[in-house]
Amino acid sequence: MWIYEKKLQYPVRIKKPDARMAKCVITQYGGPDGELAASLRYLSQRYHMPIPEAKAILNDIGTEGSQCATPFISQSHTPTLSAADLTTPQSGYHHTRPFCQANCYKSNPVSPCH
Amino acid sequence: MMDLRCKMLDDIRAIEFMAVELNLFLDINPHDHRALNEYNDYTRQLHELKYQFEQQFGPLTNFGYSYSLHHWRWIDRPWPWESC
Repeated sequence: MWIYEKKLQYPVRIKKPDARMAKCVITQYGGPDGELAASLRYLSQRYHMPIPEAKAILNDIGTEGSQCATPFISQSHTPTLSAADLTTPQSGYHHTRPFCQANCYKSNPVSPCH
Repeated sequence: MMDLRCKMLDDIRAIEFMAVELNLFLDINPHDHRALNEYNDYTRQLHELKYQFEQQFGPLTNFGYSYSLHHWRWIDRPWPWESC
């Protein structure tokens, strides 16, 4: 059904790890309005779509969503962070759990995949 | 060596970007011949670039979509999250 490619669709280099940004990005990936949910929605909708053009688009954007680099961006923000970085109030990481906040990029701009 | 690997991957990504966008355009404009020709042209280039890359740096795909000559190179580093 799908095949894995051992490469990124777009290269990502994080120069400065940032716990708040990590939380924001992981939310863009798995949160309530995130990439995963959108992609699963497209892939479910395609089964009932009567228009050939739209059926193909739903299949293809649902597939592309799973190639998204957001999980990679998110993990790239965390490797050098200490436990203190993740638990101090300033980090913004402990207030709400990751995944639990919708549309954080409005106040903290980050470009979503599409 | 790593520089060449990254350069080749960048070239693949550039062509692949064109292929993906033309694919999505063609989904909703399936009778556009200019887009179709461009799509096929980029697809040809992409096949060639991936073939060259895999000859040198090992398979990009598994499960029977790429050969792994001489030994099993799928487990070799780098994975996408370890390098470019």
